[in-house]
Amino acid sequence: MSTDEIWDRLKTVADPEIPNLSIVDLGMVDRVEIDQGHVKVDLMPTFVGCPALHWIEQKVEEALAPYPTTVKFVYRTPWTTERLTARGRERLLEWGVAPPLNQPGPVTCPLCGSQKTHLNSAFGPSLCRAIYYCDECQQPFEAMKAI
Amino acid sequence: MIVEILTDAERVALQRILIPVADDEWILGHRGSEWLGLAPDLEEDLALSSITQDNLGHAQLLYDIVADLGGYSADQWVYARSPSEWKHCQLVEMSRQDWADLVAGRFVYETFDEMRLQMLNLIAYQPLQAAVTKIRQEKMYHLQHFESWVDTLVLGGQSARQRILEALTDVYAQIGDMFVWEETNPGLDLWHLNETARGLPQKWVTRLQGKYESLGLPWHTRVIPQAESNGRLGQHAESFFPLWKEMTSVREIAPLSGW
Repeated sequence: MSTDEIWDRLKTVADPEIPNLSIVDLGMVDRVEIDQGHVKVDLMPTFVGCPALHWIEQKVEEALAPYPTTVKFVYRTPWTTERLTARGRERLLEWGVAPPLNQPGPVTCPLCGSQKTHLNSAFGPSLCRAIYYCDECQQPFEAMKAI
Repeated sequence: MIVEILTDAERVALQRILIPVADDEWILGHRGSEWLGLAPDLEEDLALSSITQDNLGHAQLLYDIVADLGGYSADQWVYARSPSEWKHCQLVEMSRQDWADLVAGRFVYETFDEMRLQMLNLIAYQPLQAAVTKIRQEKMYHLQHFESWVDTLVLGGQSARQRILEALTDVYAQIGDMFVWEETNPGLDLWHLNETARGLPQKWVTRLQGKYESLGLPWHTRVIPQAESNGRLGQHAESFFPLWKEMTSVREIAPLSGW
């Protein structure tokens, strides 16, 4: 067992609502440690009250089986949207969710590419997503909330 | 210096500082969930559900920190205390009324809570600082949300305007205990927070005055009322008891069940 192998396996664990986005690309994995055959994975919750945390914990254990694994949620460094990898941002877009803005500016519509958009509600269908509206193609869309 | 290990006295003091904060968030989470499906529109239903999940998450994170300092587990803090051992303020236990009352109450609370979190950030205990940073990232959206609701109602026509102004006036009568810190708590001394804590009410009033003025509303000099009964000492309104009974009922029926 190598740390690389563990990271590769973690790449198969996806966000429960965005199945092409792995927790690695989401930037949730803080630390991987192998201690005498036992794997310790520290994950950073995206939002404190995220109801998917237990589900993700279970999926990580399954992905790393048969290695004995301990998953811990840590806050040493808080997760921010800047932790999302370039690949993660692409994957979000493919799924139809606009990637988070790391600086102020217009959000680009994931459907038509226009920047004529406005925020409809900072609270979308999950804790990490906001609802926007595209004034160009006149469609509502979701964007990952910048934190 | 930011530390990861505290002395015994610091541990107990920190628990006493954090429990009321966690209790405020937990109770808000429960009261928020009572609006599920009843908010004014679909977007708000989603928003309040998200905020409610955030509140419960913040409470859980704080109970976990308290539990790591020794004594009760997080579950015991929530499920094993009697009503008079809960330390939330009376504002957050207000049961569901008019939407304007919710907006006024949340706006007032979130404004206060941001100041309180800034104060907690002065405590040089690493796990707490990490949690406070995370919580403030999320809270920023809550405050913005309820501020924009205040704007919408104030500018939204005769009836909305009248209801939010009345709600903001009414809510003032309920905040007496919000700013109360246990006077005997050595924690405020230990981390030199006494002065900051004493300054919060005035800072808050100034902030509220700024909001009134930005909306062109008349401002009358106000004094924060003395708390007639004090949630921070475990004195709660009648309406808290049914809530307490409900949130502890499953635990009561099946004490060993998993969560």
